[in-house]
Amino acid sequence: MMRLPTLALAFALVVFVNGGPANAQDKDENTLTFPERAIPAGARIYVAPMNNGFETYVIAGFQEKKVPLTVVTIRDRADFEMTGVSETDKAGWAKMLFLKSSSSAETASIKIVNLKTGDVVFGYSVNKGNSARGKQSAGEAVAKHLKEKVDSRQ
Amino acid sequence: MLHRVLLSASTVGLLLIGSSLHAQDPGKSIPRGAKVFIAQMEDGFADYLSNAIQKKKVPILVVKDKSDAQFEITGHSESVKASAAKKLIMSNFHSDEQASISIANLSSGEVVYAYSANKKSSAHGKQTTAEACAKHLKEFIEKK
Repeated sequence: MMRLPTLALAFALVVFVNGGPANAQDKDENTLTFPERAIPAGARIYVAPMNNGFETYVIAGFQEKKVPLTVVTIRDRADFEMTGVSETDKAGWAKMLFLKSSSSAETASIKIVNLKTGDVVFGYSVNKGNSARGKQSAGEAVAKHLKEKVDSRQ
Repeated sequence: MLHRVLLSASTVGLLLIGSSLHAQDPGKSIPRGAKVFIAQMEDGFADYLSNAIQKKKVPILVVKDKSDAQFEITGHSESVKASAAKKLIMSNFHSDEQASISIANLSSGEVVYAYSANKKSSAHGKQTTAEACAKHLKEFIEKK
């Protein structure tokens, strides 16, 4: 004859064992995943205006890094849309005095959305503490990593 | 017989693919003498760019009216004047310049060319970055 605390303990153990995998499954469902074959080569992408004109540096990065996408200026003709933010922190006197560097610090973050499905298919952020070429470096970093994404899906 | 049919079908397919690729190329280039409109940019960079296009003898025609143009140049420019710290600590009085342009075909809406320039301690300010953009644009047009 089992006692009441023992029964309660056994019940709790059963609930824990059954609940464990269920929780893990919930976590898997909540994990951010990007769909397979998300951005095909040759897809048409619209780069939305960003602060400080960062979109033009990203487009120039596409050209420099030979990203196999077609940039369009009309959103209605695009398959994907890139949006993002960019920030520049200019070198202060302390950085110049102690580090002898007048390079700016650049941060930028972008995301690409499939305009048909609304899915976010790619996201990337870049942080350059001592950017050799300012926004150009950040724009080219975005382009380089996007190219890797597009190439790997071919 | 089947082999011949397959061979001729594949040949026709390759020809079609080749012609479609060939047809896409002109859309990605800027022909000599193309009419280009330069959109307004920060700090009057459009004027610097227009002058640089003339100076570097870029084989395009800059027009004032967008409706007359086949292509449009948009872009961004930023200048950072030498701060007191830069002048005192680094003995440098030149500004840092960065600019970026992109050229879109107005009929297709596709961006056909883009370039960005970054000049630390620019000798001639915006003029330097504008001429860098013009020089590379000229190379792009003449390469095609």
